Amino acid sequence: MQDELDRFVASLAIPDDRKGVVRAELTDHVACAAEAAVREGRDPDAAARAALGDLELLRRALEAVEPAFRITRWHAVGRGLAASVLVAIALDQGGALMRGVVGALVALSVALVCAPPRALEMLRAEMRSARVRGALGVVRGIPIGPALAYAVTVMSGPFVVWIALIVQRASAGLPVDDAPWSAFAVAVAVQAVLLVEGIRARIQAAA
Amino acid sequence: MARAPQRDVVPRGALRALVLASLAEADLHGYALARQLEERSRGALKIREGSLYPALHELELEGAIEATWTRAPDGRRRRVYALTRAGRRIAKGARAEWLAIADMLRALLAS
Repeated sequence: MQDELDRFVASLAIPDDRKGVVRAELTDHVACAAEAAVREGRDPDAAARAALGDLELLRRALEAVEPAFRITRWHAVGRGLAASVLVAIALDQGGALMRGVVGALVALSVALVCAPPRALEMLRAEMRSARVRGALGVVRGIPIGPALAYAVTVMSGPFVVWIALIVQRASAGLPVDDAPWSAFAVAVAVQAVLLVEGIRARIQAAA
Repeated sequence: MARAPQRDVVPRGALRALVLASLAEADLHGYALARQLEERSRGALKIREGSLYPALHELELEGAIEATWTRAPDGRRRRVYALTRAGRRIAKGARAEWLAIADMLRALLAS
């Protein structure tokens, strides 16, 4: 039984430190079930096996949740800020080439490369969270986890950096160009992902 | 009195509310939590491990609960969960929300 449990945990696509937590927790769970079976005169092996339930269901659920333990919100904000600076500088300094499709693709690629690992799975887990009242007690919403922290930072950060560049250029008396549409590619893509995943989470919750 | 049929699928939000309500009364490890919920439902509820531990870990990520390592009597490692201060607030809200839903369904289905 323990071997089967070890093989199952080893095969999970989750961070190694979380495998240790999951292994210890499931080992305790199975042992408790076996002890209860002995007390009640049932077969402990069968009880231990039954206690694990559907392993594939457990795998899917754990692989959706566990990766988020590796990334803290501050870690995600740091990645978002790095992506923001890269996107803003690339679009600002890239000349005419960066004002169209190429610029949009570069911005999206930077945002994807800098995203925390398994960001989409994390985002889905965060979107499924129960709504809570905020610190001021006025509005209710889902708690902001690492994936949402990254999304918000990478969506708004390039504009902050870009505005700083424009202000600096204007104060030096240099001409200021209009914002090209490629500057909005990341913001639009993030908004679209948030919208789609938000609707998915609500549908799943209703089901 | 006829025994209620056993349910092996608990709505996601309801499981979170049940977990938080149980932890509001006492710190528990996963197995004890599952058995307590099953006993309180008089066998009408079967808590799946596939949903219990991920739900516990999600609540931990949200800061609603925290886990501490202890030892079982035979020395094996055990994680015991407790509500945080934020968790108490979330538990209260979840309880009120699900009781309101239950009242609404009762009123709608009984009519």
